[in-house]
Amino acid sequence: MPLVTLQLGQCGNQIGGQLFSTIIEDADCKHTGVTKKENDNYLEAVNERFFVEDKHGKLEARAVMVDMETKAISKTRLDAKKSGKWHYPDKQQFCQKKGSGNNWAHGFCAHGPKAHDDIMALVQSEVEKCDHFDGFLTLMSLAGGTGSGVGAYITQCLRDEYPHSFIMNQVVWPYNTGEVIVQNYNALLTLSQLYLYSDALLIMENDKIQKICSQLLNIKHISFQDMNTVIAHKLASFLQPTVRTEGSHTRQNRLGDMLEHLVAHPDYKLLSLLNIPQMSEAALQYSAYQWPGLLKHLRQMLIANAPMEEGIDWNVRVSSGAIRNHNFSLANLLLLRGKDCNMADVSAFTEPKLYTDWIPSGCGLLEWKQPRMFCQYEKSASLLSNSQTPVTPLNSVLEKSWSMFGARAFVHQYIKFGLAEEDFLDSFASLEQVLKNYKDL
Amino acid sequence: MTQSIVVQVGQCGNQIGCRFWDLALREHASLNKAGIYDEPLSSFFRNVDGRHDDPLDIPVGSGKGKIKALKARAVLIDMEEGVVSGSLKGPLGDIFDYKQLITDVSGSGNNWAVGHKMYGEKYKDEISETVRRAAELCDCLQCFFVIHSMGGVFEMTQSIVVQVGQCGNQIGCRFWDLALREHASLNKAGIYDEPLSSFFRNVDGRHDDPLDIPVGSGKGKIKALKARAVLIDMEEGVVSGSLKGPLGDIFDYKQLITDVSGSGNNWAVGHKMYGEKYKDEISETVRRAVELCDCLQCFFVIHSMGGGTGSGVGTFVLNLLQDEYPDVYRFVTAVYPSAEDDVITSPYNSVLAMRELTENADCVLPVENQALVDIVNKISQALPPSNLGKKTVGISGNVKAASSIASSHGSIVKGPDEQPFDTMNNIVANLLLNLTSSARFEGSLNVDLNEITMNLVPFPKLHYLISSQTPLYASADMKIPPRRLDQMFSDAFSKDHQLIKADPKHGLYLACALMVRGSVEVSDIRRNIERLKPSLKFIYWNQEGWKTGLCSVPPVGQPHTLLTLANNTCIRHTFSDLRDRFSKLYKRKAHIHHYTHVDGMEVSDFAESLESITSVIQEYETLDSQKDIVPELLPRLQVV
Repeated sequence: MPLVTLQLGQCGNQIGGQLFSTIIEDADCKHTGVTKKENDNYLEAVNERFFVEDKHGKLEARAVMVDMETKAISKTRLDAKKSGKWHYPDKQQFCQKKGSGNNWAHGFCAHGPKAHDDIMALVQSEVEKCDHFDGFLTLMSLAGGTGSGVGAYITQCLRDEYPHSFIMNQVVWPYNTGEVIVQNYNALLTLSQLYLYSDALLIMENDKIQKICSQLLNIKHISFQDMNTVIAHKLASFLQPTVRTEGSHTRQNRLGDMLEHLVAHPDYKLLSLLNIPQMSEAALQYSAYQWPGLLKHLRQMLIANAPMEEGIDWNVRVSSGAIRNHNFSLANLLLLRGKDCNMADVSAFTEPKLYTDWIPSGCGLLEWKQPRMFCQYEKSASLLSNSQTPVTPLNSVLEKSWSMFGARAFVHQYIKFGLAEEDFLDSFASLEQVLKNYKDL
Repeated sequence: MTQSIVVQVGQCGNQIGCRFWDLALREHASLNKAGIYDEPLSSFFRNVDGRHDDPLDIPVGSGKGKIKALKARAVLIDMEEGVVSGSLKGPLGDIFDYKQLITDVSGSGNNWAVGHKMYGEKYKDEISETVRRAAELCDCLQCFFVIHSMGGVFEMTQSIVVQVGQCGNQIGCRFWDLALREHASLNKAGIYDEPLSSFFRNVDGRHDDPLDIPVGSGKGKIKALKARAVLIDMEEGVVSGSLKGPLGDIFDYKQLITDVSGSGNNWAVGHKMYGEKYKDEISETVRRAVELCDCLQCFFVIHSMGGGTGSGVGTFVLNLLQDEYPDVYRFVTAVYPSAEDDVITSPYNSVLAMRELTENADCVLPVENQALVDIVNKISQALPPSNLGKKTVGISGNVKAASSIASSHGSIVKGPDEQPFDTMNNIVANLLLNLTSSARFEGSLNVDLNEITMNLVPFPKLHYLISSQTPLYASADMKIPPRRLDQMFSDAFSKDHQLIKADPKHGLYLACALMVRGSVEVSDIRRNIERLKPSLKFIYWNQEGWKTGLCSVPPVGQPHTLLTLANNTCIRHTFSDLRDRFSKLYKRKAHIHHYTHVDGMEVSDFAESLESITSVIQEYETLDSQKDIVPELLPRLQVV
């Protein structure tokens, strides 16, 4: 089922480029662990989902690129073209010369409305290329001005014009110690807007991604490229095709199915993603895993709220009654890829105590399997979950932006583009509500 | 049958037009095997007897005459020669003749105004004549088809430097010199590319009023570069010196505004008298520079605070820019006088000018003379003796020659042309280069100029940023241990490296930007932030007030550099010192009459300016007092 990707802002465009090349890399893997026919089916599904064949038989990404500056887009396009394996469609780019300057209001109130017609026309032409349209994946950051401001605006427009399509926003959560000073304001405003219009917000926290780079991948000087590669790997790990047998017929992992399961209630839209194993290519050759071990780690990562398999707190136990110290879930989606995945026992994830009490017993978990290896990993698992993980980062954004707002610092820059103090207050109110909802699970 | 004429304009229009003629010929050829000049052909083509100088038309007649030579009913217009002359030489060349062409050599620089107003007027008669000739050859003209594009593609934004007064012009010229050096070292092929276009125009100098050649495909050679600059001085010395000097070629006399008599170190003379007098001329000169940009982002105004012209005319220009181009950012590099300044009225000038800066600038980068002198001394101590010839013992033996931020090695201005303040001015010029690097070059974390104000200016008036640049020079040792990289970050926060005499470690940070150029990864920056954080105080609502930028292109001669811009309360000391010196004079009403006798200058201007600087100082003081005592926070919103 085809998916249209919207790459917004510098961050969104860099991640988008990396996502498509990760997908191609995975498709090109020599070791698949399955028969040629099975692999061909897999590849066909990959191509249908992410690419269009252009008239020369080359793969063309189903993507629309939006940025208010040209540099990131042209670099990403060039890198794609250099790969020789895929490229971006011509004329599916929208860019201008003056960026949003980290100002959410500049993106949301000025650039967005001005670019509305052009961007929506690009989106429409991309959607029209799909036979069965599955939904939108928008890639953006929360910190900048273009990704967050224009992204929030475009999400709203997508909801208007495609009221029945699924929209998943992948948002990059800024470093706790940020790269942009007004990032907490930008994050606050973006999240509160997205919460109104998006179906789900998949959170990628820069701090956690950086930890994965340094501790699991042993990268000494971590660049954005490295971090984007990790994010792209994570995204691909749940977006690449998997199948599930339902009675007599099989189902692909459609975005719609995933979101329907994960977002059971419109008040709870924040998703996070755990992957295991993750390691450098060099280490990969000397590693062997068994499903029970992998799943045991993954489950502990979930309940102890750990971003990776190293340094998990094994003392956290699923408890019942008055002491509730583990990370509660609303819903989990488990994807297993690789050898013998059909034999793996996933019952540890169906345990009712993992979930908040109003989830009917046995309904918390949805699983998808794919015997084909993913990116050279003989066995790998990813867990997409709607859980309490976002509580800590969300609380930190609210706390910092509230204290800055108390001094009314930087607010004049937003007012200049037409935002009012009440808009800030509305955003605070709606996100405090979201935070409370998750805390009270 | 009726006839139509195709008017193809510009590169795009001509390319499409030629394809049209090619396909039209093919279509007719496939239908008209006999090669007869028939009615269908006549609607877009003429049949001529090519033996005449001015070929005569052969009418369709009985419709049985053979085709002699076909000519397209077309008018080809382009202000660059490339495409049109290409089509004339190509296989289609025979169907056009030179009388159907109108070309120029220099292009319109993607500028509608240049095309419409300038070339339009210039070629009006010629176009009209050419079209008339084509029309006369039709016996029943039904339609004109005009083919053209709507907008040139051009990637980068541009900035204009306005340099005012002696100091402003000296710094400005150092900036242009070093900018040329930087681009020359990166752009060996001598191509006019995007990064160059942000500060330079490429012109065809053979014309009296040189015309812009656009970046185009990015493969065109540099013809002659012109700086996007406006030079203003009320004395002729420095400006005419730079015109005659080796840098003279990049300016032309239309970019200059000068007077002969100077402002006599009097802000009022500069601001009120010369300002009014040259208002139209300044506005016109700036407009001309603006029209040559297709997406103007920023004005950099460079001037001193102490003198009359720099402070007076400089702030006048600033107000004018604010009025006429409110959407374009205004960055001011202002050189503040030292306490031992020899101009007695410099406190007056500075305080009067500062009111204007506070009101009308988006961002001010104050630079203090004494701080520059100290940095130059620090560098000359470290340099090997041969380089400056002053010091006999160098502290460090392995400093790479010509790598210091005060060096102009490898630039155009050399030897005898070097001015006494050049080393100091180079530091300021580098500040501007580093500030704009990430807007000019590729980087994984670009910082646009508008991001600087967005992230560093929490309150509208508090837009004074303290800057520092490290390292002051590069080591000759090519392998840099990480320790030295960390040293670069540590130095940036020491008081010896700031471009004003202030100690940020004793002040309170409202926000801080780290702009790194060269081979540094984002993790290096993060590591250093974590390392330095404990020694720096940030305001309670902006504990993580860091803005970071990465530009992959390092400056000439250095593997990496760091520019920090800080909004720090310690700057209030510079301002309050200035206010004290002002008050000392003002209490005795000394020299006031020199100001008040200038038309338009009121005594109240002094009081109001004093009030303005005082309010800035107070705002910083209020914030500084929150260093230790954090005011009680409002409770977070409660939801039920």
